[in-house]
Amino acid sequence: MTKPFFVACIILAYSIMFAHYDNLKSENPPQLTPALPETIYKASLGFLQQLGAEVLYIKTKVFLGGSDPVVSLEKTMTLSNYFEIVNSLHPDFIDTYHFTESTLPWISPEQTRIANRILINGTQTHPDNYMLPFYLGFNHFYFLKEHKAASTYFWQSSKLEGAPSWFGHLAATLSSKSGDIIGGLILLRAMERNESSEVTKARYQHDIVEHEKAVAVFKAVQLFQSKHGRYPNNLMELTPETLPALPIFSNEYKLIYAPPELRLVKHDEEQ
Amino acid sequence: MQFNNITSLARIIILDGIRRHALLGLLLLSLFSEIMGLFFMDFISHDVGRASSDFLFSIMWLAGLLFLFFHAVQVISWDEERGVIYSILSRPLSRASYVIGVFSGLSVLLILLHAVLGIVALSTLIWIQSMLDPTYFQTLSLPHFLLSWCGLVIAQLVVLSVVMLFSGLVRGGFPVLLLSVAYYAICTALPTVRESFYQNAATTDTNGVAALLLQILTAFFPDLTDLDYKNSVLIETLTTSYSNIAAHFLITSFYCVIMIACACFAYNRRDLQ
Repeated sequence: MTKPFFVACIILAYSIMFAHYDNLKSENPPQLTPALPETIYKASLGFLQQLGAEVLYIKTKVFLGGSDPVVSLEKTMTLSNYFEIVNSLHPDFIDTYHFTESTLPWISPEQTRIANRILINGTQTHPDNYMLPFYLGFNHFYFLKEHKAASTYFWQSSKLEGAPSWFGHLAATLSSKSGDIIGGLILLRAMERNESSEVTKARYQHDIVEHEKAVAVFKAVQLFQSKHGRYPNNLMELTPETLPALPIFSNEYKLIYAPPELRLVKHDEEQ
Repeated sequence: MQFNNITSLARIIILDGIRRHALLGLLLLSLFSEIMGLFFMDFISHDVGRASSDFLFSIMWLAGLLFLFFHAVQVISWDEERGVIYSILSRPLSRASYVIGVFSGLSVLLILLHAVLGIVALSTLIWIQSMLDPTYFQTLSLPHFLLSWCGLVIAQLVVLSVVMLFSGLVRGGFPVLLLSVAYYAICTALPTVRESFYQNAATTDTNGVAALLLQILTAFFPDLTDLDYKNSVLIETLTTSYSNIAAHFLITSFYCVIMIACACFAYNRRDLQ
């Protein structure tokens, strides 16, 4: 009688302590512990290096999928470190590139450059994959505003098998003088066409409308130049002869004219 | 005559291994783990084929290591601890033939284990491929799968030959196990040390003696990942040349033969009492 009772008490005590400890653990936000140096993984895994990389990838993915995004942002250096290690351990593994692109560049320009380093490794390991130079082009265009570099990568991507025809057009547009607005519009239209989420689609549509207004002004500036042989000193000179009225942009966007360049910028990009 | 004795001893080792519950348990556990590869692929969004292939080959590698460290080491030490070796060597069988017989028997068992796991791994990969859109699993190359399988088996035969050598040099299963694990750890880490050394040497003055020492060490502790071809399972064309592959296999085979010869020498010189 005493023995079963004693065993039951032990089991009960364990269950209570476990439940309490587990509840405490679940209250804390999930953590991504700093990764070990890359050489440690390489030196210890050997034949299992690829599996090790995939396990680290899954760990990062599970962390990002399950955590509060604020926590993720605080952990950006750890996060990018994981991506770099996974890529170094298993450069052939394509998921790293897709996941890097969907995660790092959106955080900060510094993280965009880390993502670009990883993607450049990808273009060397997978020279036939048109998505990787496209990601690089997109990062340079959208996040870093480096249109010349963006154009180079879009062009590189457009030449690969399976790449949509508009990649080449985009690259050509971007490389031309002041082509960023038209290039942005093409890209946005393509993104809007392929987007499945209605919320994101609506955001793209809003951006497309703003870009279309900017393109109308850009065309008017070009028309003015061809008529008068010079660029207008300011945009007011366009009205009403070349353009009936200057379009009104949403609070989000601002049109900046520094003859002969015309740029459409977001207010937060100005700062 | 010696050949017949060697094959008889190898047959005993094989039959003994097949009857061992621990080995059957290892086989079942590995098969179960391989089937778990179907769940592993759920975590992967794009490169499902590659991740599954890596997982299956890693399971085979781990199963092989468990076989080497916990079966092969014990089989040899049991022979001594239980005095079986005396009755074997009392027959017209030289010590060198004993070493070759045990090595052959354990090699056949290892190959059998990998053959079963390899067939299940290949079937699992074919099944996974049939379930997916080609975007996620485009190619599965059977010749490259066989090449990866052979590379894995040869790499583990190297470890087995070294286990044989250590068994000849040291008494008792546990010390042999420790030495074998240490040997495997050095083989795994040494390429990284060498790579890191060469990277540093590129920026600073090259230390010729250290470079030579590392090269000599690599001759004793070979880079087993040279025989790792699992990245090629999912591609049509090999990135490594055939001559390179042949060179890797040839060097490793020579290494195995040298280790077995050293083990024969160690057993011949050893006082078994």
